[in-house]
Amino acid sequence: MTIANSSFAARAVAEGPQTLAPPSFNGMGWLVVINLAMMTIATLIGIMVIVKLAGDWVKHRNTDVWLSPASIYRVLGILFATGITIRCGAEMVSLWGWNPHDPVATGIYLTAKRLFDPIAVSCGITGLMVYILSEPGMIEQQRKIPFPVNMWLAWPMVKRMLRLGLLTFIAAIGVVSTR
Amino acid sequence: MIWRLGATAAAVIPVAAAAVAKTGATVTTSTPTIWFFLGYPFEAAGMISALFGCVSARFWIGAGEIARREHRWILDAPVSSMTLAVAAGLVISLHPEPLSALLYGGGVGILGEGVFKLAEQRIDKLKAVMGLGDKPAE
Repeated sequence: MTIANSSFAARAVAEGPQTLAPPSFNGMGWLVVINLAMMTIATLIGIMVIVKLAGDWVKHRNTDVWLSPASIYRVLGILFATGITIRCGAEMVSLWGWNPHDPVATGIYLTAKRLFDPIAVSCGITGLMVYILSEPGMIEQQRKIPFPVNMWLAWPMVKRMLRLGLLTFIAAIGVVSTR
Repeated sequence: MIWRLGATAAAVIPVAAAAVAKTGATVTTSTPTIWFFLGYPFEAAGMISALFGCVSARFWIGAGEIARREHRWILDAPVSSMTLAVAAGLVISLHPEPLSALLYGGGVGILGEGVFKLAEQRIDKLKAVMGLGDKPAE
Protein backbone atom coordinates (compact mmCIF):
# COMPACT_ATOMS: atom_id res chain seq x y z
CA MET A 1 0.00 0.00 0.00
CA THR A 2 1.14 3.52 -0.72
CA ILE A 3 -0.64 4.77 2.37
CA ALA A 4 2.50 4.35 4.50
CA ASN A 5 4.17 7.12 2.46
CA SER A 6 1.33 9.62 2.68
CA SER A 7 0.63 12.30 5.28
CA PHE A 8 -0.15 11.68 8.95
CA ALA A 9 -3.70 12.92 8.35
CA ALA A 10 -4.25 10.42 5.55
CA ARG A 11 -2.82 7.61 7.68
CA ALA A 12 -5.07 8.57 10.60
CA VAL A 13 -8.12 8.43 8.31
CA ALA A 14 -7.05 5.11 6.82
CA GLU A 15 -6.25 3.44 10.13
CA GLY A 16 -9.08 4.93 12.20
CA PRO A 17 -12.66 3.68 12.37
CA GLN A 18 -14.21 3.73 8.87
CA THR A 19 -17.03 6.08 9.81
CA LEU A 20 -19.34 7.70 7.26
CA ALA A 21 -18.78 11.13 8.80
CA PRO A 22 -15.71 12.33 10.74
CA PRO A 23 -15.33 10.20 13.92
CA SER A 24 -15.69 13.29 16.12
CA PHE A 25 -19.44 13.18 15.36
CA ASN A 26 -19.54 9.93 17.34
CA GLY A 27 -22.13 8.40 15.01
CA MET A 28 -24.79 11.06 15.58
CA GLY A 29 -26.39 11.56 12.18
CA TRP A 30 -28.51 14.56 13.20
CA LEU A 31 -25.39 16.42 14.29
CA VAL A 32 -23.81 15.73 10.89
CA VAL A 33 -26.91 17.14 9.19
CA ILE A 34 -26.84 20.31 11.29
CA ASN A 35 -23.11 20.86 10.76
CA LEU A 36 -23.24 20.11 7.04
CA ALA A 37 -26.21 22.43 6.50
CA MET A 38 -24.82 25.27 8.67
CA MET A 39 -21.36 25.24 7.09
CA THR A 40 -22.86 25.17 3.59
CA ILE A 41 -25.35 27.95 4.33
CA ALA A 42 -22.63 30.10 5.89
CA THR A 43 -20.36 29.64 2.87
CA LEU A 44 -23.10 30.43 0.34
CA ILE A 45 -24.36 33.47 2.27
CA GLY A 46 -20.78 34.66 2.80
CA ILE A 47 -20.02 34.49 -0.94
CA MET A 48 -23.32 36.27 -1.66
CA VAL A 49 -22.43 39.10 0.73
CA ILE A 50 -18.86 39.44 -0.59
CA VAL A 51 -20.08 39.59 -4.19
CA LYS A 52 -22.74 42.17 -3.34
CA LEU A 53 -20.44 44.40 -1.26
CA ALA A 54 -17.55 44.23 -3.74
CA GLY A 55 -19.97 45.10 -6.54
CA ASP A 56 -21.32 48.04 -4.53
CA TRP A 57 -17.77 49.19 -3.85
CA VAL A 58 -16.93 49.24 -7.57
CA LYS A 59 -20.26 50.86 -8.45
CA HIS A 60 -19.97 53.69 -5.89
CA ARG A 61 -16.19 54.12 -5.95
CA ASN A 62 -16.52 57.81 -6.90
CA THR A 63 -19.05 58.80 -4.20
CA ASP A 64 -17.74 56.68 -1.30
CA VAL A 65 -14.20 57.97 -0.96
CA TRP A 66 -11.58 56.18 1.15
CA LEU A 67 -12.28 56.52 4.92
CA SER A 68 -15.82 57.78 4.42
CA PRO A 69 -18.28 56.08 6.84
CA ALA A 70 -19.88 54.23 3.94
CA SER A 71 -16.62 52.68 2.77
CA ILE A 72 -15.53 51.77 6.31
CA TYR A 73 -18.90 50.09 6.89
CA ARG A 74 -18.47 48.19 3.63
CA VAL A 75 -14.90 47.11 4.44
CA LEU A 76 -16.13 45.79 7.80
CA GLY A 77 -18.82 43.75 6.06
CA ILE A 78 -16.33 42.38 3.53
CA LEU A 79 -13.81 41.41 6.25
CA PHE A 80 -16.39 39.56 8.37
CA ALA A 81 -17.94 37.88 5.32
CA THR A 82 -14.50 36.78 4.06
CA GLY A 83 -13.61 35.32 7.45
CA ILE A 84 -16.88 33.37 7.68
CA THR A 85 -16.64 32.19 4.07
CA ILE A 86 -13.06 30.90 4.34
CA ARG A 87 -13.57 29.23 7.70
CA CYS A 88 -16.90 27.59 6.87
CA GLY A 89 -15.88 26.83 3.29
CA ALA A 90 -12.86 24.81 4.43
CA GLU A 91 -14.99 23.01 7.00
CA MET A 92 -17.69 22.40 4.38
CA VAL A 93 -15.18 20.80 1.99
CA SER A 94 -13.81 18.53 4.68
CA LEU A 95 -17.33 17.48 5.77
CA TRP A 96 -18.71 16.90 2.27
CA GLY A 97 -15.48 15.28 1.13
CA TRP A 98 -15.00 12.93 4.11
CA ASN A 99 -14.47 9.50 2.59
CA PRO A 100 -12.62 6.63 4.35
CA HIS A 101 -12.29 4.88 0.98
CA ASP A 102 -10.10 7.78 -0.22
CA PRO A 103 -7.92 8.65 2.79
CA VAL A 104 -5.36 10.67 0.79
CA ALA A 105 -7.92 13.21 -0.44
CA THR A 106 -9.60 13.32 2.98
CA GLY A 107 -6.22 13.96 4.60
CA ILE A 108 -5.57 16.83 2.18
CA TYR A 109 -8.94 18.41 3.08
CA LEU A 110 -8.18 18.10 6.79
CA THR A 111 -4.74 19.70 6.42
CA ALA A 112 -6.11 22.43 4.14
CA LYS A 113 -8.64 23.34 6.82
CA ARG A 114 -5.81 23.84 9.31
CA LEU A 115 -4.01 26.06 6.78
CA PHE A 116 -7.06 28.19 5.98
CA ASP A 117 -8.36 28.62 9.55
CA PRO A 118 -5.69 31.16 10.65
CA ILE A 119 -6.31 33.22 7.51
CA ALA A 120 -10.03 33.28 8.25
CA VAL A 121 -9.49 34.18 11.88
CA SER A 122 -7.09 36.98 10.93
CA CYS A 123 -9.83 38.40 8.68
CA GLY A 124 -12.22 38.35 11.65
CA ILE A 125 -9.68 39.92 14.02
CA THR A 126 -8.82 42.62 11.46
CA GLY A 127 -12.54 43.33 11.19
CA LEU A 128 -12.86 43.71 14.96
CA MET A 129 -9.83 46.02 15.06
CA VAL A 130 -11.17 48.17 12.22
CA TYR A 131 -14.49 48.33 14.07
CA ILE A 132 -12.89 49.51 17.33
CA LEU A 133 -10.55 51.87 15.49
CA SER A 134 -13.37 53.55 13.58
CA GLU A 135 -15.94 53.44 16.38
CA PRO A 136 -15.43 56.91 17.98
CA GLY A 137 -15.59 58.65 14.61
CA MET A 138 -18.48 56.51 13.37
CA ILE A 139 -20.54 57.08 16.52
CA GLU A 140 -19.99 60.82 16.09
CA GLN A 141 -21.36 60.56 12.56
CA GLN A 142 -24.27 58.34 13.55
CA ARG A 143 -25.52 60.66 16.32
CA LYS A 144 -26.91 63.01 13.70
CA ILE A 145 -30.66 63.35 13.27
CA PRO A 146 -32.69 61.55 11.85
CA PHE A 147 -32.00 58.50 13.98
CA PRO A 148 -34.20 55.61 12.78
CA VAL A 149 -32.73 53.57 9.96
CA ASN A 150 -35.02 51.76 7.54
CA MET A 151 -33.97 48.18 8.28
CA TRP A 152 -36.04 46.47 5.61
CA LEU A 153 -34.60 47.93 2.40
CA ALA A 154 -32.54 44.82 1.68
CA TRP A 155 -35.24 42.37 2.83
CA PRO A 156 -35.47 40.64 -0.60
CA MET A 157 -31.82 39.62 -0.32
CA VAL A 158 -32.27 38.32 3.24
CA LYS A 159 -35.34 36.42 2.06
CA ARG A 160 -33.22 34.79 -0.63
CA MET A 161 -30.67 33.81 2.04
CA LEU A 162 -33.40 32.21 4.16
CA ARG A 163 -34.83 30.26 1.22
CA LEU A 164 -31.32 29.09 0.32
CA GLY A 165 -30.87 28.01 3.95
CA LEU A 166 -34.02 25.88 3.88
CA LEU A 167 -32.93 24.30 0.59
CA THR A 168 -29.50 23.53 2.06
CA PHE A 169 -31.07 21.89 5.09
CA ILE A 170 -33.23 19.62 2.92
CA ALA A 171 -30.22 18.70 0.76
CA ALA A 172 -28.09 17.93 3.83
CA ILE A 173 -30.80 15.63 5.22
CA GLY A 174 -31.08 13.92 1.85
CA VAL A 175 -27.35 13.38 1.48
CA VAL A 176 -26.76 12.15 5.02
CA SER A 177 -29.72 9.78 5.02
CA THR A 178 -28.96 8.17 1.65
CA ARG A 179 -25.22 7.67 1.61
CA MET B 1 -43.43 34.76 4.75
CA ILE B 2 -41.05 34.11 7.60
CA TRP B 3 -43.72 32.16 9.47
CA ARG B 4 -44.26 29.91 6.49
CA LEU B 5 -40.52 29.27 6.36
CA GLY B 6 -40.45 28.48 10.09
CA ALA B 7 -43.44 26.13 9.81
CA THR B 8 -41.81 24.24 6.95
CA ALA B 9 -38.58 23.92 8.93
CA ALA B 10 -40.50 22.62 11.97
CA ALA B 11 -42.29 20.05 9.81
CA VAL B 12 -39.01 18.90 8.27
CA ILE B 13 -37.23 18.17 11.58
CA PRO B 14 -39.13 14.99 12.66
CA VAL B 15 -38.96 13.58 9.14
CA ALA B 16 -35.24 14.31 9.12
CA ALA B 17 -34.70 12.64 12.49
CA ALA B 18 -36.49 9.50 11.27
CA ALA B 19 -34.56 9.45 7.99
CA VAL B 20 -31.14 9.98 9.57
CA ALA B 21 -31.61 7.52 12.44
CA LYS B 22 -31.94 4.58 10.04
CA THR B 23 -28.41 4.76 8.61
CA GLY B 24 -25.46 3.08 10.25
CA ALA B 25 -22.43 4.96 11.47
CA THR B 26 -19.62 3.20 9.64
CA VAL B 27 -18.88 2.27 6.06
CA THR B 28 -19.45 -1.43 6.74
CA THR B 29 -22.85 -1.05 8.43
CA SER B 30 -24.33 1.30 5.86
CA THR B 31 -24.83 0.93 2.13
CA PRO B 32 -25.44 3.92 -0.14
CA THR B 33 -29.00 4.18 -1.40
CA ILE B 34 -29.19 3.49 -5.14
CA TRP B 35 -31.95 5.07 -7.22
CA PHE B 36 -32.85 4.27 -10.81
CA PHE B 37 -33.74 6.53 -13.73
CA LEU B 38 -34.86 4.75 -16.93
CA GLY B 39 -32.96 1.72 -15.72
CA TYR B 40 -29.70 3.54 -15.03
CA PRO B 41 -28.50 3.21 -11.44
CA PHE B 42 -27.01 6.16 -9.55
CA GLU B 43 -26.17 7.08 -5.95
CA ALA B 44 -28.94 9.10 -4.33
CA ALA B 45 -26.49 11.14 -2.24
CA GLY B 46 -24.50 12.25 -5.29
CA MET B 47 -27.68 13.14 -7.17
CA ILE B 48 -29.09 15.18 -4.29
CA SER B 49 -25.87 17.11 -3.80
CA ALA B 50 -25.45 17.78 -7.55
CA LEU B 51 -29.03 19.03 -7.92
CA PHE B 52 -28.65 21.14 -4.78
CA GLY B 53 -25.40 22.64 -6.08
CA CYS B 54 -27.03 23.41 -9.42
CA VAL B 55 -30.21 24.94 -7.95
CA SER B 56 -28.32 27.04 -5.42
CA ALA B 57 -25.87 28.28 -8.07
CA ARG B 58 -28.77 29.20 -10.39
CA PHE B 59 -30.64 30.69 -7.43
CA TRP B 60 -28.09 32.93 -5.80
CA ILE B 61 -26.22 34.31 -8.78
CA GLY B 62 -28.13 37.36 -9.86
CA ALA B 63 -31.55 35.89 -9.12
CA GLY B 64 -32.75 39.36 -8.18
CA GLU B 65 -31.66 40.92 -11.46
CA ILE B 66 -34.34 42.61 -13.53
CA ALA B 67 -33.27 40.72 -16.68
CA ARG B 68 -33.86 37.41 -14.90
CA ARG B 69 -37.34 38.44 -13.77
CA GLU B 70 -38.24 39.87 -17.16
CA HIS B 71 -37.33 36.67 -19.03
CA ARG B 72 -38.36 34.25 -16.27
CA TRP B 73 -40.48 31.86 -18.36
CA ILE B 74 -39.02 32.32 -21.84
CA LEU B 75 -35.33 32.02 -20.79
CA ASP B 76 -34.69 31.42 -17.11
CA ALA B 77 -36.88 28.35 -16.72
CA PRO B 78 -35.55 26.53 -19.84
CA VAL B 79 -31.91 27.34 -19.00
CA SER B 80 -32.38 26.21 -15.39
CA SER B 81 -34.03 22.94 -16.37
CA MET B 82 -31.29 22.38 -18.95
CA THR B 83 -28.54 22.82 -16.34
CA LEU B 84 -30.41 20.52 -13.95
CA ALA B 85 -30.65 17.87 -16.65
CA VAL B 86 -26.92 18.18 -17.44
CA ALA B 87 -26.04 17.87 -13.74
CA ALA B 88 -28.25 14.79 -13.40
CA GLY B 89 -26.68 13.28 -16.51
CA LEU B 90 -23.17 13.87 -15.13
CA VAL B 91 -24.08 12.11 -11.88
CA ILE B 92 -25.63 9.14 -13.69
CA SER B 93 -22.63 8.67 -15.99
CA LEU B 94 -19.74 9.48 -13.62
CA HIS B 95 -20.97 8.17 -10.22
CA PRO B 96 -19.18 10.96 -8.26
CA GLU B 97 -18.74 11.24 -4.50
CA PRO B 98 -21.00 13.86 -2.84
CA LEU B 99 -18.29 16.57 -2.85
CA SER B 100 -17.43 16.15 -6.55
CA ALA B 101 -21.15 15.95 -7.33
CA LEU B 102 -21.67 19.26 -5.50
CA LEU B 103 -18.88 20.86 -7.55
CA TYR B 104 -20.24 19.44 -10.84
CA GLY B 105 -23.70 20.76 -10.01
CA GLY B 106 -22.41 24.17 -8.99
CA GLY B 107 -20.18 24.41 -12.06
CA VAL B 108 -23.00 23.52 -14.44
CA GLY B 109 -25.28 26.00 -12.68
CA ILE B 110 -22.72 28.78 -13.12
CA LEU B 111 -22.27 27.84 -16.79
CA GLY B 112 -26.04 28.25 -17.09
CA GLU B 113 -25.61 31.90 -16.16
CA GLY B 114 -23.32 32.36 -19.18
CA VAL B 115 -25.85 30.62 -21.43
CA PHE B 116 -28.56 32.90 -20.02
CA LYS B 117 -26.50 36.03 -20.76
CA LEU B 118 -25.81 34.89 -24.36
CA ALA B 119 -29.45 34.03 -24.98
CA GLU B 120 -30.59 37.35 -23.52
CA GLN B 121 -28.28 39.27 -25.89
CA ARG B 122 -29.67 37.26 -28.82
CA ILE B 123 -33.24 38.07 -27.87
CA ASP B 124 -32.47 41.76 -27.44
CA LYS B 125 -30.78 41.81 -30.86
CA LEU B 126 -33.70 39.97 -32.45
CA LYS B 127 -36.14 42.43 -30.93
CA ALA B 128 -34.11 45.36 -32.26
CA VAL B 129 -33.98 43.85 -35.76
CA MET B 130 -37.71 43.30 -35.81
CA GLY B 131 -38.39 46.75 -34.45
CA LEU B 132 -40.05 45.43 -31.29
CA GLY B 133 -37.36 46.40 -28.79
CA ASP B 134 -38.06 49.30 -26.49
CA LYS B 135 -34.32 49.87 -26.20
CA PRO B 136 -31.68 49.51 -28.92
CA ALA B 137 -29.14 46.70 -28.50
CA GLU B 138 -25.52 47.68 -28.06
